[in-house]
Amino acid sequence: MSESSRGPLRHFTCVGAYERCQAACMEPDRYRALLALPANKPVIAMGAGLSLAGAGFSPDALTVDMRHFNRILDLDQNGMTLHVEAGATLASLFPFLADRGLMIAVQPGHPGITIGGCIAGNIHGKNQYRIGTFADLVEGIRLFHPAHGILDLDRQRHADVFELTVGGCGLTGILLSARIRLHPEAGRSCLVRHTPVAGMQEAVQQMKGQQQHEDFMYSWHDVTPFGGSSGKGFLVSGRFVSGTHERNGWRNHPPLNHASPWPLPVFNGLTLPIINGIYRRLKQGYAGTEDLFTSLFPFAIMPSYFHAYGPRGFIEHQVLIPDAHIIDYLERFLALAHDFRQSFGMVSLKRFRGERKLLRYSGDGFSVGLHLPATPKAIRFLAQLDEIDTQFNGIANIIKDSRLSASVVAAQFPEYVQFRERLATFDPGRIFTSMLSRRLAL
Amino acid sequence: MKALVIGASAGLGRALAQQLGASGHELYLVASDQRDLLPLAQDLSLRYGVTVHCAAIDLADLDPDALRHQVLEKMPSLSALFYVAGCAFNQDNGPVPAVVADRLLKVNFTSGARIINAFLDHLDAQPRGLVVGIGAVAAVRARGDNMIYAAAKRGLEFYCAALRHRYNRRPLTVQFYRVGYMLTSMLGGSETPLPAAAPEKIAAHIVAHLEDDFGMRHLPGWWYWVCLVLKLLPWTIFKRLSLEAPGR
Repeated sequence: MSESSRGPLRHFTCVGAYERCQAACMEPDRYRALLALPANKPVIAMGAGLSLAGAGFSPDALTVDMRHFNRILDLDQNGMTLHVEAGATLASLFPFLADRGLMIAVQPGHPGITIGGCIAGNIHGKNQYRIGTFADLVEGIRLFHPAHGILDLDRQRHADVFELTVGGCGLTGILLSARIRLHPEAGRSCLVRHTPVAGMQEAVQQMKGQQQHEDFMYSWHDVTPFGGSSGKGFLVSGRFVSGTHERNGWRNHPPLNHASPWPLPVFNGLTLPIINGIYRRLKQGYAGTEDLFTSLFPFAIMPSYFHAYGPRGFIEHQVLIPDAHIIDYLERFLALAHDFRQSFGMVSLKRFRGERKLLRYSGDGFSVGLHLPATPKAIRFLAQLDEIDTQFNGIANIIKDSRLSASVVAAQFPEYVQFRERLATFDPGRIFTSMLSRRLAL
Repeated sequence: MKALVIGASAGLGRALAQQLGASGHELYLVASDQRDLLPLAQDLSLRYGVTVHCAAIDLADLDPDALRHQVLEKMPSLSALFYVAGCAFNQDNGPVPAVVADRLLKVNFTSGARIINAFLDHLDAQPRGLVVGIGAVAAVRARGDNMIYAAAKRGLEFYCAALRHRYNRRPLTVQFYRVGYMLTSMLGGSETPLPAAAPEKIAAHIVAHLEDDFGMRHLPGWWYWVCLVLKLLPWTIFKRLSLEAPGR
């Protein structure tokens, strides 16, 4: 066994490739190695490394790759809870739970994400409005901090640290395991329907009327000259149905090697309008039955989507705008996109419901999600969009946007200072640090 | 099959335990730290519905008879023993403290031989007994790196070869694998001069060939040719080679 606590240097990049660095890394496969971390050296845990921002690495910190801590510790089928180590991926749990008629109700876009990543990022699925975010499923966390040792956190014990840890970007310590509330499996298949909409504002109205009745719902928009001034697109709605489906998506999905993009950006300002136009025409009006895995993880079956942005990568910007402002906001957003002639790989809307808390991406309103090639023009566009977001009382998703600044986040999140202060109280040495935490001055 | 896996908590041992569990075999797992063993045992029994026992034992401080008693009490019809444990230290390229040398010899060789020896009568009495030893390509030809590690692994290899000879007319099968570089904590993420294999792939091969009587194999298979070249290289050339990587 190798006895060194600080491993060799490794190149890290977020999924969008905008934030990247070289950092020391260790990949412990025993608790002995993990729990021997010193209490005075910068460190950060990494799950699958599929974050869209630099949440799992920093040039001055040791990255602790948690992939080996992926074991199922307990399943309480009566109490519907799963106790699992933080490095377990959703893909590895999916068949285990499905065989027992259970599921984790909140699923992000890619099945390679770990339980620890879901908690640290407080991820959301495709029906946040009905199900909530991952925070709502977490019943307890076992956390390790070199200065505090192992802590068992829940809403009663160390409630303050629990609150900081859920959606805390891994800055309170290393998540060892978690108890997750399960739901009965809604079905093995999903009836998916794409309903054309004339624009983003219409999608908002339709979501308000239909969201309650669907198991998931989001919209996709073509915000290019081909998509008109209001962003033609379609609503994607899904209903889980019982019965089996032949395709076993979880078995066949390719791994996402986002560190190896294509050498040329196939998605660029010239091609994206054409690709968006073709995609809209092909997909609008679609209706069909998909297996549950494929419907929950649409990005799992097409990793080339991420590679097509080329070596420069892409940025995901996601902002949650309150219901009262969404129509006016979309008008400003579409006008800005038109002025900049900005190209998008994806523009999407989701409806949200919940409470705004600390730096979590949650609250009432509509989430506007964008994928943009990481060009200098896109950075200028997003800088202006940040101002509009703030003006309309929006909050950006800090775990997804790899270029957000501390000033923007401080302006948008009323509890930004409180988060920093509470974090400093728990960990005065602030040894857990990442590129994200440094950029946001956390 | 009811299998005892020594060195089960990480790397190849863990991958073997997972694949044996997935194939429905009852398991007895041994490693040095209960904190790693219990989660693995829970995971395997939950995922695959198999019975998994475990015991935390330091192989450098071993009582083989006590282990034999402990295992057979829980698993009286034990039929297979996998000795996967191993350890290497970076400083094993010159004089090392006695405690380090002692640990290297015990974990990589003498404890293995003592455990196998303790279970031999029992395994030989089974209708289809199996002993699987895991060695390393580092033991193919003596070099100035991983000296004690390689010598100990060579010792285990020699002992398993002797067992195969002794039991060749008995139902007991003895298999030995010389394993190349693997992506485990023993490598510590360092670069290797030749590709490193995932332990899951190595484990899959081992589990797929439990019935075979082949003596010794290299894993991955192409290491056979590398080892052959290493063995045949004239000393004047070999002495200039430096494959700077830990033993596996």
